[in-house]
Amino acid sequence: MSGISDTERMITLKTVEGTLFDVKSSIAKDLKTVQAFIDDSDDDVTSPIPLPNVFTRELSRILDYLNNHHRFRSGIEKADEEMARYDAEFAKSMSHEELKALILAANYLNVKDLLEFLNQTVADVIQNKSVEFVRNFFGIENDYTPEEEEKLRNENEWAFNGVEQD
Amino acid sequence: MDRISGLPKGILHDILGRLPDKDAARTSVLSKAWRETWFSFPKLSCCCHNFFSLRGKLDRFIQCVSKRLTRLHDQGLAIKEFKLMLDHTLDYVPASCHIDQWIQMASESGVEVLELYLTGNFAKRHYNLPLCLTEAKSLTKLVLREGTRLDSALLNHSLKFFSLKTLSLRHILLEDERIIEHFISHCPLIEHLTLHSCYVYNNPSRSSTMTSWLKSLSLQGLQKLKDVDIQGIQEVYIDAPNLENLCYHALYMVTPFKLNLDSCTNLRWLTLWNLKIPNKWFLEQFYRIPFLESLMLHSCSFEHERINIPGPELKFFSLSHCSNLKEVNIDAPNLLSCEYVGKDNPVISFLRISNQLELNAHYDMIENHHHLYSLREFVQNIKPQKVLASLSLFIHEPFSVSMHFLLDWFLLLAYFPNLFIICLFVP
Repeated sequence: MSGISDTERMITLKTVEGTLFDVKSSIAKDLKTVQAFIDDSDDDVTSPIPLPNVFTRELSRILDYLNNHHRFRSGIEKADEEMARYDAEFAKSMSHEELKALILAANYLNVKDLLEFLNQTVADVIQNKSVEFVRNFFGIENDYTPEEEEKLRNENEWAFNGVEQD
Repeated sequence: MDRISGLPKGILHDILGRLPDKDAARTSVLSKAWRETWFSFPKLSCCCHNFFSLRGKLDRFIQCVSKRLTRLHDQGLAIKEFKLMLDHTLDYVPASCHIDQWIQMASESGVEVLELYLTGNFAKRHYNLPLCLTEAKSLTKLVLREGTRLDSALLNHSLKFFSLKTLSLRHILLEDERIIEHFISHCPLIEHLTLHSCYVYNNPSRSSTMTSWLKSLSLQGLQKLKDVDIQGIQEVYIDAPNLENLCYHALYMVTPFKLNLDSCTNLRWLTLWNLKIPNKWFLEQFYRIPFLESLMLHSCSFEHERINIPGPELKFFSLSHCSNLKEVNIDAPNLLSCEYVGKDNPVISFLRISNQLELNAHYDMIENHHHLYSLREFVQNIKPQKVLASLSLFIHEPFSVSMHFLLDWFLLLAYFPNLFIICLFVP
């Protein structure tokens, strides 16, 4: 088991725009893609690790999330309530465009807990909404002909019972 | 601009898995790409209730489920989860051969979770679990609830449940009483076991269809077993050195029970329901489970109307609806929370306490001033009195009390300046 020096080590990450972020190695462990890079390197990683698919705005949000969750987990018993409140604020503070970008970044960096939370947020949007609403929300282009769509809706009639129409 | 449809399939499938089946199915109408995502979604949750308002509902349900499974199976795609729910309002006997086919396809496609709920009236007809399921090496969770029968043919079959971690059988008919032990002996990795109200034919040759509850169960050498929930089995022997959580529930209090936990020294949580507990047995168990953190006794009765609870690591204790109890002596220096639910007035004494200990009492069935008197005695007799943190009362009928009586109560409550009281009137 490694000594104290391991948790104090700082890793530097570089986003697409060239911004540098210093991250504690204990936080970097939750960025599994980054951790794999570190594990694969023979020597200690001293120069900034480039993240070609990650923008500053997303990395900043991800680190914010991880820092807060680490704080909650190492803290007192009542942390569950605080964490739930933080998560709710976190989800509300983003536009759906930002949400999509964050999912892609979290997926690339392989941040498991955050990804599950974001996927749940998307699922919460879709649940009980009409097809038109979901199309508008995500900007999905409808490439069915009216006849094809009608046929599909009829085949899946059972799934359309009792759903709000847009 | 649509960036979400381009997300990796794994993410989209994860999102679909968080939606009820109806909502997930509707995403197939969003666009052709989404239809492909839905077609390859490996988790199926098929509930006949979704088809209720449709004409020819059973046929359409069968058609829909068959289509989905066949599509995945024939394209060599994975079927990771298959959950099926049928109830008696649809006569599911015609569906049996289809269910056989569905389970066959799932077993051949790497199924990990299989759940069958065939609820309702099936006193005469049960669905026989097909043998093809025994080939499902990938199965990690099997849940059978009502309506299914486990056949004797399983006894002569080697069951390839090498990956099974969770087994839950509720209201399942067993053709032979040895079937469950045979099943479990083929599950070396089993961690969570639930057996509720399983029953066996009285006469093995099946000349009659009379059944009775499974009488005994012996679980041996299960190294990974962590969690056991048993209801309705009179004699239980468990050899599981890593068992952490046990819930044991008798169906009738009258019959004596046999519960042997000798080797379960790591037990942390214990719940006992509806048992007539001999004091000697009770104390002996405690000495064998020194790490117990939580104890819940529900609707139990005790020899000599008295119990002693020694618990060096006990943090949580709940005593609920245990009638004819006169004395409860608790020696648990680390206890944080104690709960009493009932309508008697046992004398509850704590020998050694921590500063955080809180006793919460819920008194049910207050119908007249005798009950209130009984409650007053209960509160007065708590030793030490300061541990009482809250008191809730359920008053079923309004009744009148004298001023003198009320005054007695106020004098008593003066000893509890921080007490939190809730009174609920249930008309």
